[in-house]
Amino acid sequence: MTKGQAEVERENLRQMISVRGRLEGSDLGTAIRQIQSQLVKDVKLPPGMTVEYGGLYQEQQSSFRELAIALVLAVLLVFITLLIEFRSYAHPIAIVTGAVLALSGVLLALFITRSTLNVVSLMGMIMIVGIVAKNGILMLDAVEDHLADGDTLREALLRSGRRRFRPVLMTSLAAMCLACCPWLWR
Amino acid sequence: MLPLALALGAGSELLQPLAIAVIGGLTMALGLSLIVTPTVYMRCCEGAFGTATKGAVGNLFSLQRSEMFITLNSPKDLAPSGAKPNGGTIADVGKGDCALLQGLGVKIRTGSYKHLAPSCPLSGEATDRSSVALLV
Repeated sequence: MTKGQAEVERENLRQMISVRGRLEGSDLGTAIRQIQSQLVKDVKLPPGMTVEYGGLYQEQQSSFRELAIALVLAVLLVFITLLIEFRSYAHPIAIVTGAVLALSGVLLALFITRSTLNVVSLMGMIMIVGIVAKNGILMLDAVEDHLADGDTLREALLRSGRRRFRPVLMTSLAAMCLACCPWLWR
Repeated sequence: MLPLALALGAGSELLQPLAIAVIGGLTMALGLSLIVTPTVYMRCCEGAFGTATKGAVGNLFSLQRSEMFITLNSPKDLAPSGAKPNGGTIADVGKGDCALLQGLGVKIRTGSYKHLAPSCPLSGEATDRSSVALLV
């Protein structure tokens, strides 16, 4: 007599065997990549049998997709709002370009600290788009004032850069260092 | 964010990536919003703003097609020799441009011209500098 399975699991009208595992000392993305590359090499599946990756990985993928959509939507909505507010294309294009490029800073910081790009850091990216758009508004709003004073566009941009450096620095430093302190004492 | 990034305090391990992302992004944004945003803005506007001053009277009518430049409250405000201006608002005339326009015989009169250089003398009934337009 040989031992068999006591139970036959089914999903979507097909028989299924789930292989589960617990990760230690590795993140989900790396582990799944290793499993995928190893499975292709080592396992020859009989006809009619397929491999699906489920569980946490599936959930992570779907939440990633949702957050990526949220990020794109955030950028689009910021653009549309600015378009309505400023009534020109030049302002929103300049502000949104700055905001999207600032995301490179997120990737750089994650790379330096050897952190992973996960759901939480994607949330941080969405926050960044908002904060940076605000910096851009501060900046270009001052430009309007200087233009009204009779400066040329170039003079106005230089002057407002000088004038807005302090407020931009203040808000950024406040958010970076202080604003999140209360989270410590929950 | 800093305490979170350094993973001080209970439960901050979870939020650490958020803090790192926000700090990195804000640091980058500090430079970018002061350099990239004005640069892109200038690039976007340069074509529009720049030519207005070069063209002056000769091109004034062709410029009216782009509504960034010139709006006239009534077409007959600006109608020498059969020219037919469209609506539009002048967006930018610097100190130098003002003299250039006047040198080319452009007079400045009431309309909807917002960003007029204060050094531009006004003619006609215009009293409020926030409401001035160009008249050829």
